[in-house]
Amino acid sequence: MVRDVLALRRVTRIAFAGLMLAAVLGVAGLVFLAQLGVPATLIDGGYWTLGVLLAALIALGAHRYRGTVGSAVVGGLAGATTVVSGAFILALTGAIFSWGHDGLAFAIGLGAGCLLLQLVIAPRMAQAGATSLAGLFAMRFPGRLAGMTCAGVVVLAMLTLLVAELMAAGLIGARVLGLSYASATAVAAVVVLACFALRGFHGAVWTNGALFPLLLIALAVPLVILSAIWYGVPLPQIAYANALWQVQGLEEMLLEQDLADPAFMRPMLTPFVALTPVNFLGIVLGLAAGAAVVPTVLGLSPPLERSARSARSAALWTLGFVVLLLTLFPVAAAYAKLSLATLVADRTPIAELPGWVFTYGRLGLLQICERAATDVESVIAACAALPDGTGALALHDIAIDPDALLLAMPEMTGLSGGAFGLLAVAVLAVVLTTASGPLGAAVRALTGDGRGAMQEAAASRRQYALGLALGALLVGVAAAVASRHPAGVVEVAAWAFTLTAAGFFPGLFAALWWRRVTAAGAIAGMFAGLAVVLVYLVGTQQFPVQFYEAQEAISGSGASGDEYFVELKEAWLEAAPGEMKDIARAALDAHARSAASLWGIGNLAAALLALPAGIFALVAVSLLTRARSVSAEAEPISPQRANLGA
Amino acid sequence: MRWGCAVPDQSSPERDAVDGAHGARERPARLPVVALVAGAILAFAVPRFVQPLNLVDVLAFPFGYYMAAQGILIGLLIVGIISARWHNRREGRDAKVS
Repeated sequence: MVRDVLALRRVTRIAFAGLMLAAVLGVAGLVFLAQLGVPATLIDGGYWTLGVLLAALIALGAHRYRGTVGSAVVGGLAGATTVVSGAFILALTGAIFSWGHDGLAFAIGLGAGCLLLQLVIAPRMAQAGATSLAGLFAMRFPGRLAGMTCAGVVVLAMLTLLVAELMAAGLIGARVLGLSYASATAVAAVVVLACFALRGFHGAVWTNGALFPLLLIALAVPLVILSAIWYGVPLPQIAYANALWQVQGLEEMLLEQDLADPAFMRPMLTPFVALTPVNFLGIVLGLAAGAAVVPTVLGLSPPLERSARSARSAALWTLGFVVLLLTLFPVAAAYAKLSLATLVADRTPIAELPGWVFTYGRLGLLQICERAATDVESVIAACAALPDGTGALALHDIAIDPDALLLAMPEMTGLSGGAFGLLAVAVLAVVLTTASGPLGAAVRALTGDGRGAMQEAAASRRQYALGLALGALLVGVAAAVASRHPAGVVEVAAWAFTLTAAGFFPGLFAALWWRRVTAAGAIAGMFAGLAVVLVYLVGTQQFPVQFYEAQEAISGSGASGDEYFVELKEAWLEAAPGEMKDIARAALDAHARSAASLWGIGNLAAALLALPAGIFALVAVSLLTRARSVSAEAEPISPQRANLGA
Repeated sequence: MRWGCAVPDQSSPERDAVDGAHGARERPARLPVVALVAGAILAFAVPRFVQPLNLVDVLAFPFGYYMAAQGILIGLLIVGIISARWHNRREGRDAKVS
């Protein structure tokens, strides 16, 4: 046994180092080919192929080492990769770039979630011997209805997370393959399904950890280089203080010169400009509670070693690696913001705009003067058509899709193609790999296989085919939603975590720490929490106008006091049927969507309402049903058993 | 196809561990209240005071921004480390006693 563990550790070290070396050498080879004159489209295609190969290798490794458990450090690496997931890795930099200080709420929420996981979830899960969230629920709340509710919540939340992952993969694919976003999403969906099939339903999850060192290098090396060159301090987390002050100075200067509009400014150093304090805290709460109980992470707890200590140790490593990663995203955002502000402050003529502007413009990911920046002529025409055009580009004239910002950062800051290549390869591999997590969790929930992957090493051929068919169905649905681009990647990923938090956090916490919770209470808690989030999400996204008009009745604020909303609605009602009516409706929907909220709480902060609703329902129904069952059965509760409820 | 989450053997040791049937020989698990409160203060209270904290500079950063971008996360990690050491020591003592 000890020899097996040592052999596994040696294999892990060799595999992790080999994977990183292969990625770095692969990117170096492609950069060399680019210098020899190989077309850029082929080189970018090479980056995509390399990312897919890495994801496939991870999937094969997961299948080969199914049933094995990595050390605490490896578990921490895998946990960090899984918690932050490809979607947040791609989108967090852009969120901080576009929301300024308030985008940090996502990072704080994920960090707090890892602490919650370490303090109250992972050790107790290990003590209970549960290998998955579904397994623990089945153990504590036996019964068909509880099982079906649990499965329903898993499928809904994990499908949403899968949508975010596919959106991220589609965006990277669009950039490196030059395809349309919808086509790249479809291609990514096929690759995700293939990786899932290779991995099998019971593949080892710790192998995901192999991607974390690669990701860290791909993200940190460009930032270290920039910090050393620009400020002479090769520690990005310290050096970027200079960039923050420079950005602030440039933005103030641009405001004085009328080259920036305060309505569009999202300063890095000023809090609560993009979000109200309540919404900031709501995002932190939703992500913290969601990250602590997300099914993809709970499957990582060592099932063969039922020790609270080992689970706590792995969760602590997860927290450490997550903190290390999360402190790098604000640096990337600050350097990208500095580069863009410098571009405008230097009054760069449109004809001399750098190539990356048009690269992303052609993909529809960057607009200048409200039109996609496909080439110099179209940008000049678009800016000349603006009523208040001054001839010089203003900061608010350039709008880059926040989800594309991390990929654009190396080019924005003037780094070589190798930095972009390594980043694209690492993030693509992480996205494709972590997408298997929610897909696997949803398939296991649907097939009723919640007992824990690693104990049942071999699924029958028929089960495998059924699971694969379900996986294909789920990927198809997720790809269809992702190709419509319902919102930004960070928002969709945050919704997935909010759904998880609302559906599972009260029930799971109570299952682990409150003895008096009953199955009926847990079901009520899941339904109540989920209902609040779903009403919020579906209401604000699909029926924004109706939700906005209805919110007055509930929260006392709403459409009647909003003159702009009334104007937009009148314009829509009076518009002639056809294109004008559609445009008026789109403007009305967009405004209602941005303003729809109950008591000032937006849909990203829905956990503020959903968690109390879920907790209240769980406690009330548990107490009621407990009282009934106790009086009916006259069953005493032993003092020792009651102690556990402390 | 069976819908819903699987139901393991009802008399399994897992169930006993959760229900506390073996609790007679173990000290009951204690909710890490102090660590939870410290984490909650860092994650929920500190962000509310970014503006006043920004009046102070730390490592060339406005302190409020530094806390939101790095300080809170590092604080959460420190809470996690201290709590893990405390719980591991407690469990080690319990193991020696038994």
